Amino acid sequence: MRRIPWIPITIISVIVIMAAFAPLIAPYSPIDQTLPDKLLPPFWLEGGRGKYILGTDPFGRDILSRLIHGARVSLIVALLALTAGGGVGLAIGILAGYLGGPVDSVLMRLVDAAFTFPAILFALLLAVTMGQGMATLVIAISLLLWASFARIIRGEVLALKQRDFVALAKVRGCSALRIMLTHILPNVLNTFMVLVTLNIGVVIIAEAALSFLGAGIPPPTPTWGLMISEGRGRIADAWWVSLIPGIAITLLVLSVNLFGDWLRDRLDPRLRQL
Amino acid sequence: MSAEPLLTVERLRKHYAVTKGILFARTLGHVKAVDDISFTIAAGETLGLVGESGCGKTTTSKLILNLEEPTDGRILLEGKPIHGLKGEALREFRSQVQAVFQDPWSSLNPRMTIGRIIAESLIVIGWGTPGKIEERVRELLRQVGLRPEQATQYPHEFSGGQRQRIALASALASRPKLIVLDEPVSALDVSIRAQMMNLLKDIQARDKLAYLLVAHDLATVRHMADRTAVMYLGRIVEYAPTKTLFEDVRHPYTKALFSAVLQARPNQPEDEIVLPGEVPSPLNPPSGCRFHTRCPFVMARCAVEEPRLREVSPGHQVACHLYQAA
Repeated sequence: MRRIPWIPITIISVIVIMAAFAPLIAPYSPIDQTLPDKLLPPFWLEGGRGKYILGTDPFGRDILSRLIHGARVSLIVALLALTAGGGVGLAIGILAGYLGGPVDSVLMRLVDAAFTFPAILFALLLAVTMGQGMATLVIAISLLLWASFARIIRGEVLALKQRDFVALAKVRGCSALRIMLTHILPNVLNTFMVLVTLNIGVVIIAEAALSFLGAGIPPPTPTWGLMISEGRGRIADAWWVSLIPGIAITLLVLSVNLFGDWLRDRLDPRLRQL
Repeated sequence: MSAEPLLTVERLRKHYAVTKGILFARTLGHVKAVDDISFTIAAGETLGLVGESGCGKTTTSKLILNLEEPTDGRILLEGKPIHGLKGEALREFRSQVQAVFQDPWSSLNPRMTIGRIIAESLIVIGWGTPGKIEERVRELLRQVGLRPEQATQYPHEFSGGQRQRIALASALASRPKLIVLDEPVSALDVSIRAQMMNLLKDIQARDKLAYLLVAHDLATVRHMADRTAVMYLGRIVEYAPTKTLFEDVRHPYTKALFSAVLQARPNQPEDEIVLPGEVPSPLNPPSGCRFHTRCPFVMARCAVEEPRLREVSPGHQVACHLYQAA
C-alpha cells in the first residue's frame, strides 16, 4: 500500500479552508485600494513591510488577501466546470462506447466538432450574450472539457466491452442501462478521477485566460488567473505580483495530481489489500 | 432422449458481411461462420462441440445465448423460438440459459464482490428479498466448494480455478436448464481441470442440467459429453454418441483431429495424420465438401457435390462421400 500523501493533502486542505473562510482569514479587503502602498515587495525583501506579508499589487491591494479570496473563486469554478463538463463527457463516452453503431457515430462527430471549435472565441461570444460572470465562465470551460473526457472514456469503454463479464451480464439478463451503470461505470471511474485531477490545472489556466480576456470573472474580484495577468506588465520590477499566484496554482495543481494518483490506486480493489 | 428435446437448433446460419470503404461501403463477401447446422440437446445431457479455432463453435454458442441474431434458421428452447423475444419472455429465457466462458480473469467484474456477482441474475429477475438472495448465494458458494463468508471478497483475491467456480455459481443462480460451457477448463491448470469437470458433472447429475460443451480439447469432451458434434468450417461433419465416436471414427477430418492428440503410450507406433495446408478462409470456402482441399481420401465428386449428414450406425451421422452410396 502506498503511503498516504500527507503533504499534498495538507496543501489542498489549507487552500480549501482558505477558500471556505476567506473573509475571516484574509487580513485586508481584497478589493480596497491603498494606492500609496502600491507594488510593495514581500516582507522578506528590501523595502517590504511586515504589514503586507506577500507584498501588494499595482493598486496597493494586499496580495495575500487577494490570494485567499481568489482561491474561493478558482476552486468553485474548477469544481462546477469539472462536474458539469466532466459529467457530460463521462455520460457521452459511456453511451457512445457501449451502444456503438449510429449513436457512437453521431456522438463522436459532435466530439470532433467540439475539438475544432475555438473555445476562447465561444467564451467571448457567451460573455457578450450572457454577460460576464461565473455562470458564463463555467459553461465556457465545460464546453472546453467535455469532448476530451468523452473521447478518452469512450476508448476505455470500448476495451471494457470486450471483457467477458459484460457479455455475461447480458446473458444474466441485465438491460443495457444496468450494464452501463453497474458494470461499465465503476470500471471507468478510475480513469475519470485521473482525468479530473489532470484537468484541474487546465481549468485554472482556462479561467485565468478567460478572465484576462474579459470573458470571465470581471475585476476587481480576485481570481488566481486574473492576478497573474494583472502583474504581467510589471514582471521585471515587481515579479511577485504574478509569481505568487503562479506558485499557488502550481502547488494546488501538483498536490491535486499527487492526491489523485494516490486515490486511483486506493480505489482499485486489486491494490487495496497489498 | 425424451420426445421433445430441450434445445433444438435447426439449419442455423450466421454470416458476417465483410465490407470495404466508408461512405459507399461495398460488401466483399460473407464470412460463413456457421453454415447450416442442426442438432438437439435433451434435458440433462451434455453435447460436446469440437473443432479447431475458427470453425464456428463460439459463434454457435453466442447464437444459442441470444447474444447474436442468426442469419437464417432458428433455435428453439422447449419448442419456442429464442430469437426476437422481448420483455418478460426474454427475461424468462435469460434465467433458463446460462453460460460459463473460457477466461476466468475476464469473466468476473473486478469492482463487484463475488456475492454481488453471483446474485446478479437473481437481482435482475427480481427473484426475492435481499435476505433470500443472500441465502441463495451462500448455498451456491457451498455447492461450488467455496466458503459462504467469501461472498464479501473481490475477484482478485481468488485463483483461476476458484474464479471459474464463482463463474459457475453465478451461472447456476437462476436454476437454468441449459448452460453453455465455452471452453470451461482450457484456461485452467491441468491439475485442477479434473476437479472442475467433476464438479460440473456432479451438479449436472443433481440438477438435471443440460450442457453445451464447446471445446477444442478432446479429452474434456470424452470425459464430459454424452454426444459429440465435430465442426469444420461452419459445418457439422460428424455427430455421434461420444463413446461411439471415440471407438469408431469415420470422417477423415475427425480422424486427423483425433490422431493429433498426444498418446498416453508414447512407445506405440504413431500414425498421426498430418493435414496438408491451412484451414481455408470461411470467406470463400471450397466447393463441394469443404474438407476436400485437405482430405487424404479425396475423390472427384468431393469437389463438386456437398456430402450430407447420413447415419452410418444408430445415432452416428457422418457427412462424407466415403460412407455414402453413389
